[in-house]
Amino acid sequence: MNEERKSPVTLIIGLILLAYALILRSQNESLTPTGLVAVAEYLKTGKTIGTQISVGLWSGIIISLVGIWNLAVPAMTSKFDKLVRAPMAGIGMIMILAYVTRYYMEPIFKIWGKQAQPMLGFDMASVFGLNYILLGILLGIVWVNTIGIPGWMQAGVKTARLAMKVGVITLGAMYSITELKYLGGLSIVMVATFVMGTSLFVLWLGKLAQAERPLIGVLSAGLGVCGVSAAVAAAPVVKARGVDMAYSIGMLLLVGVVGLFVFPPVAKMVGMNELQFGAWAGTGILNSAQVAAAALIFDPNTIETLKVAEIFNITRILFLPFIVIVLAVWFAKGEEEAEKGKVSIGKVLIDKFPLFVLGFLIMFAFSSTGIFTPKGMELHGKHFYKFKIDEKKEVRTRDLKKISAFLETGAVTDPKVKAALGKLVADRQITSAEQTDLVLKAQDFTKEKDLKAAFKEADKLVQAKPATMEMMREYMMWFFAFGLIGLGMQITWQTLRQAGGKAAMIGVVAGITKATLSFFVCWLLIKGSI
Amino acid sequence: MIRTILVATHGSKGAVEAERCALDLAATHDAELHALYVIHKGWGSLVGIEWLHSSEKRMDFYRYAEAELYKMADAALGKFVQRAAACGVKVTTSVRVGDPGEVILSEARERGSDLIVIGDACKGRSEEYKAKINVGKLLRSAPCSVLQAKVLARGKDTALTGEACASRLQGIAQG
Repeated sequence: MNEERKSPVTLIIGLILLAYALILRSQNESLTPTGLVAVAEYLKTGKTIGTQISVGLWSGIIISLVGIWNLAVPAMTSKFDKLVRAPMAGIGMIMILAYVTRYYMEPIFKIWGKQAQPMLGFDMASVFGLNYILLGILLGIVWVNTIGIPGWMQAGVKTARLAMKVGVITLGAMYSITELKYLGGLSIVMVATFVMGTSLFVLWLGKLAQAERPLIGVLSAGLGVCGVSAAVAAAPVVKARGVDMAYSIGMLLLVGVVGLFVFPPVAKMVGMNELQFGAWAGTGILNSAQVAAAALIFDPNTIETLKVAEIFNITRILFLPFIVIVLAVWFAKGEEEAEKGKVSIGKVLIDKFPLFVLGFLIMFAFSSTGIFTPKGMELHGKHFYKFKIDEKKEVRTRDLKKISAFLETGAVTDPKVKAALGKLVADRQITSAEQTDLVLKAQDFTKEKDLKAAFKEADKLVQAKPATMEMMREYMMWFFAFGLIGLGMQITWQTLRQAGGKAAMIGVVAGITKATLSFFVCWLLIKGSI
Repeated sequence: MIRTILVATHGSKGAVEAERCALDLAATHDAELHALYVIHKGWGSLVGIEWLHSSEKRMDFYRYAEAELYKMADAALGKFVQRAAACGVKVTTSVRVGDPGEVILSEARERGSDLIVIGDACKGRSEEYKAKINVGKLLRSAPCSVLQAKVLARGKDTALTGEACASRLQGIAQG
C-alpha cells in the first residue's frame, strides 16, 4: 500500500471548509457582528455570508466524507476512484483559494484602491480589474511557479478543465433567443474576418521569415483561432516537430497572458461597454480560457460581458475544424506526392469538434422551453420578466402623469411607441415583452432625464429574478472561478520560457496586429448594448 | 581510472561538445561509453492550459508529441553512435523521461559510472526544450566526477583530445 494514498490531506481540507462554514454560521446568529462576520462587515461582503456558509457546508461535508473514505480504503483502482476520490483534495484546496480571493483579497484590494485614489488619481482596483478572477489566476500562477503543485493536488488541478466546460454549458441557459441571434450574427462576421485574416497573415509572415512549414502551420492555427487548443489540434496535421510545438505553445501562452492583463485596463481607460469589450476579448485574446477570464476581470458583477465574449469564443471554436482542414490542404501541397489526398474532411470535422459546445446549445434549448423559470416568467433581452397584472408592478402616479403629458406634446412620432406608452398609462404597468422594448425606445424621443428614468423604472418593475436561474448563475461563477484558478496553475514559467526564435517574432507581430485591429473595429464600429 | 563514462546528450551545440569530449576520453581510457538522452518532463505540462478538447483528444496529442520526441532522441543518438563508430568507440544508448539533472544522477548510480559528461548551456537558437540543468545540484549529488564540456568561441579549435578536454574540466570531482 502506498503511503501517499493514506494521506489525511483530503479530510483535513474538508474539515477546514466545514469548520469555516460552521464558525461563520454560529457567529452570524449573534446580534452583534463578531469574528468572521465583523470582518465580512468591514470588507462589505456581508451579503455573501449565506452563500459562503452553504457552499462551505456542502463542500466541507462531501470532501470530509471522501477524506474518511480515502483513509479507510487507500487503494484507488476503479475509474470512480480516479475521477472522484483522487481529485478531491486538490478540488478542496482550490475552493479554499477561491474563498480567499473572492471574499477576502478582492474586498481588501477594493478598499486599498479607494484609499489610494486621491494619491494616484484613479481607482487602481477598478482600472486594473483586481477582482477575484484576476487575483485567483495570479495566485495560481504564483503558486505553481514557487511551491509547485504537490502530488495530492495534481488530480484536483486537472478538474479545472471540466469546471470551465460546466461553466460555459451553464452559461448556455442565460441567453435569450434575441440575444443569441444578434450576438451570433455579429460574432460570425467578426470572427470569420479575424480568424481567416490572421491565419492567412501568419502563413504570409512565416514565409517571409523563412520559417519551417510545420511551425508556420501550428502558429497559423494558434494565432488565428483559439491559441494553445488550436495548436494542439493542428500539430499532428502539419506534422509539427517537438521544437515547433514547444516554441509555438510557449509563445501562444505568453502572448495570451499579456493580453489577459492588458485588455481589461485598456478597455476601461477608453470606456468600452460590455458588448464592445466582450467582442474585443472574444476576437483578440488568443487562448479561449483567457477570453472568459478577461470578460470576468472586466465585469465580475454581471455576466453580460461574459455572455458576449463566450459567444465570440464559441463561434471561433466552431471555426477550428475548418481551419485545420485548410491547413492540412496547405501543408499537403508542399509535401511529397504520397502525402497528398490524405485529409478526410469528415474525420477532421468530427475529431476537432469540441463536444461541450453541444452541451451549451442543449442548455440554451432547455432554457428556451422555460424549464428553469417558474410559470409566467420569460427571458427577454438580458432580463427575465413576469407580465402578470400586479399592483406592486404599477408605475408611480407622478411618473404616469409625466408620461401622459409627454404623449400629449406629440414628440413621439413612432406610432408603435406611442401606442405602447398609451397602453402603459392605461394599464399603469407594462404587460408584454414587446411593450418593454417600445417603452425603452421612447427614451430616444426625449432628453429629459426624469422621463428617461421613468421609462427605465417601468421596465425594471416587471423584471423578475427566477430563483433557479439565480442559483445557477451563482454556481456558474464558482465554476469559472475554480476553473480559472486551476488553469492559472498550469501557466508555468518553464512553458513561457519556450517562446523563442521565429515563433516569437511571428507571434508578437500577428498577436499585436490582431489585438489592435480588433480593438479599433469593436471600439469604433460596434454601437449599443445587448 | 575511468572505466565507465556517462554522457548526457540531446543534440544541442553544447551537448555535441560533451559528446566529443566523452568520445576522446573513452578512446584514451578505453572506457565503456553510455549516451543518455533525457526527454524533459516539462513536455507533459506544455499544454496544461488547454481545456477545449476531451481528455481522449488531448491524449492523442500527447501520443503524437511523444512519438515525435522519441524520433528526435533516436536521431540524435543515432548520429552520436555513427560518430563513435568512426572513432572506434563502442557506445550504448538509452532514452529516459524526467528532470534531466535527476535522471542523469539516477542513471549514473544505476550504471556505476566513473564520470558524467554534460554539455554547456549555449546561447543562441536551441532546437530542444529549453531547460537548464542545475549544475550545482548535480555536482553536489553526483556519485562520481562530473565534467562540463565548454563550447569555445567560433574560430577556435574545438576538436578535443582527451588531454585538451581534461584541461577544460569544469566539474568538480566528488566521492
